[in-house]
Amino acid sequence: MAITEDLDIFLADFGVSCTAGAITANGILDMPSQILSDGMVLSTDYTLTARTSKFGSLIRGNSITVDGAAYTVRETMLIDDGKFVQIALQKT
Amino acid sequence: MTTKRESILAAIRTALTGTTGVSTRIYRSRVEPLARGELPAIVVEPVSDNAEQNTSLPTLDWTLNVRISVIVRGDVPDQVADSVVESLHAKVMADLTLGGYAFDVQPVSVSFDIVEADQPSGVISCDYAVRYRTRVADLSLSP
Repeated sequence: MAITEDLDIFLADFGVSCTAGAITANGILDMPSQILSDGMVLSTDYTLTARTSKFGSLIRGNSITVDGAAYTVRETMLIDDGKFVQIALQKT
Repeated sequence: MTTKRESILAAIRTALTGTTGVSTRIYRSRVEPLARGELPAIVVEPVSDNAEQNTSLPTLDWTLNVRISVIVRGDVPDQVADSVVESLHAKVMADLTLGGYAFDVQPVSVSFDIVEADQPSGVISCDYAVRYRTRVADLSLSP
């Protein structure tokens, strides 16, 4: 029996509203701290998980608003079967 | 008494006061990482201190290697740090005795560590060799 997946369910509980250009959809924002440069720099690793069909075409330098805050895209990477992307962000 | 090594490090820290762009964010051997809101900043720390006995006199000639790291954030981190590096270099080299504790200061190298972060980050490390002299049995006194 074929299984019909609804990928939006994955984002429904923990997702927040994201807008890039004319597209608005949910994404899950993670923001763990990280220590870089041999312990000298404290940073935040902003990563947004979202549907590829919504935000997969974003590239470095594009703007995106996540849960009301402005970010700039660092890189966009497909994960697993490519239905989702992880977008590395920097806070604008 | 304080060793001449410590006095030299303190003198460098003092000499860096007023370095372009860093305000009061000049730290001695800071071990905690610096957050985005704390930059640009400077960290002064010793790397090594090597002794030689070059004469039959009871004196030691020391070479203290000091690292002055400039930590910045910006789209082109090394470019952001450029004015800070220029300023700190002028201040370190303005008095080659560092208040009378040393007899020479020599630039050694500059290295660059540029990494991806929530905003591009860079650590530009400026290394200097500070030459000074002590008595064999007392690190706080000049011969």
